[in-house]
Amino acid sequence: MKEKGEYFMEGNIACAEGALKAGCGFYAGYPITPASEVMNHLSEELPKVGGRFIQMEDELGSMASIVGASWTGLKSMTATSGPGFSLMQENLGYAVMTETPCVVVNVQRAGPSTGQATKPGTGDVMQARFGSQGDYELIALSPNSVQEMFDFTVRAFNLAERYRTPVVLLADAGVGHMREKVKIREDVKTVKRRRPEEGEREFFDTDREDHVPPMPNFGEGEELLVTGSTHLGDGTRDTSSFEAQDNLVRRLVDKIEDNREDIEDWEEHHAEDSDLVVVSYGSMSRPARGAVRKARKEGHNVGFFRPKVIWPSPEKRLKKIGENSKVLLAELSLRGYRMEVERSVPSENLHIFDRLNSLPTVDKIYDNIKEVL
Amino acid sequence: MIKIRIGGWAGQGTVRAGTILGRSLSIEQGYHVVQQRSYSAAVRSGIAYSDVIADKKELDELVIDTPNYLLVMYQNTLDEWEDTAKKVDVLIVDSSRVENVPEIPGKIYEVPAGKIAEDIGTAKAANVVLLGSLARVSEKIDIDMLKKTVREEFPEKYTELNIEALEKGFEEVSDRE
Repeated sequence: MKEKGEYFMEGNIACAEGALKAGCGFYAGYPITPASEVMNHLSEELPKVGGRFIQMEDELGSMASIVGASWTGLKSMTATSGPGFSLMQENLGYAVMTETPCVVVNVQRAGPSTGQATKPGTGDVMQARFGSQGDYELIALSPNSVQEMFDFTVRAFNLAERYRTPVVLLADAGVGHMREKVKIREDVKTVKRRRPEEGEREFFDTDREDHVPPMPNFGEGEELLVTGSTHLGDGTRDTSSFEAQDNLVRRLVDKIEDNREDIEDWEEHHAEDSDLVVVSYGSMSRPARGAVRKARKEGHNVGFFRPKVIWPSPEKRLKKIGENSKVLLAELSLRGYRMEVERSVPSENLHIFDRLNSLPTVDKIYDNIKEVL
Repeated sequence: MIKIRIGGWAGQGTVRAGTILGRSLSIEQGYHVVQQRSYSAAVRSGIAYSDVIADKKELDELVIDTPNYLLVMYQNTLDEWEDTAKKVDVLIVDSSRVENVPEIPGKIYEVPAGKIAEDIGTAKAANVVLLGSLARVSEKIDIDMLKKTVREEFPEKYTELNIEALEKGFEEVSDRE
């Protein structure tokens, strides 16, 4: 683990360092480009701080074992890219259903399928949200710098612990394989899951306003039932009643939906009063922001909006922006975030700058801004 | 803004050179720096390169269209990049491994980096020799800060060799001016 200071560091290493600072105690994974550096770094560093590291036989096992480890009380994490993320979907849903805090890093690459393993892409935005079966919500963060690879990894752990949910760090090869200066702080704020108080027996239901039940550990003498089947507050399976399904699944969705104010985060500049607002996220949002800056310098009335938390999507804010100005969505994918933006912005106001394989220069996006204006 | 691309065949240390340069400009010289690396999906072989962009202002340019400085360590890489080479301000090649250099409007420096590195101990240090030459050509890159970075970046037993590589590369270019 790095000491406090400034480092010239790769995004994936910053992610691993963020995990260490957040108190990660267990990592399981299977190496894959362009995410392997996260695993490689933690294989060396995690045991030094008393954590456990295991290379699994595949991504199904990786996801399963971080769920199990989390129930022993450890903060747990895995990292992968597209093909591995697909394999994790079933157990990611299991983590949602069993309300297991864990962090899944997806350093996205150009897909579909094996695609271009070393090239960036953000085609997994919808998969991160809808990849597993059934109705659910989860949280996904979208970093655009090496500093944010560190900061957002810490936040991913904190949100996972706070809301007993899997959190996806939806990075891409553009930030994962980039090196920049990063400031490592000592005073990182960390959160731990709420533990049951004396006599509290319901670990899968709650009347609390935040909808988050307390979480005990395996082996602490509780009668602990953890199941992916629909269950009652005490964990017993109920695979037939209306009440059990309605109560549980609604609460799982509300747990994210009703806590939006605490979860949501975005960056915006002149998003209120511009003729055109460029919406972008991930590594693409860097040249997009640079293009907006250049356009403003040239006297064009252009704004910028970037969701840092991409799920739940800041739909109200996007709607408001789309009502008042044209929107140019700039993304490193054809279908990544597009449908979500289309849902919020009237089609006559929406313009698309999509690109595959590699990041564009600032000038490329700037030229597009001028065409749309 | 300074834009530098260091390219060659996978295994020649182009990404390592970019990392040393980027770290030196960022941590020691106080620039805002972005370094990207690019390599093929093959386990070995293929063109590998590293881009370093540095600016005094906050940096949102993450990729290089046309570099100001192009450092090339292998013939096939230069052949592949001939169009780019014609647009750069400065081309520095390792003439131990690049024999055919096209005519370009920019300045060309042919540095026998591979041979120089071999003479001081190992051909592996050719990438660092080229960094020394770059520091001579570009006023913005401080050779002393590169030396400081090399001291921190490499294990102690390789430090002196790499410092010498930087110095030889630096001198090699000054000899010609």
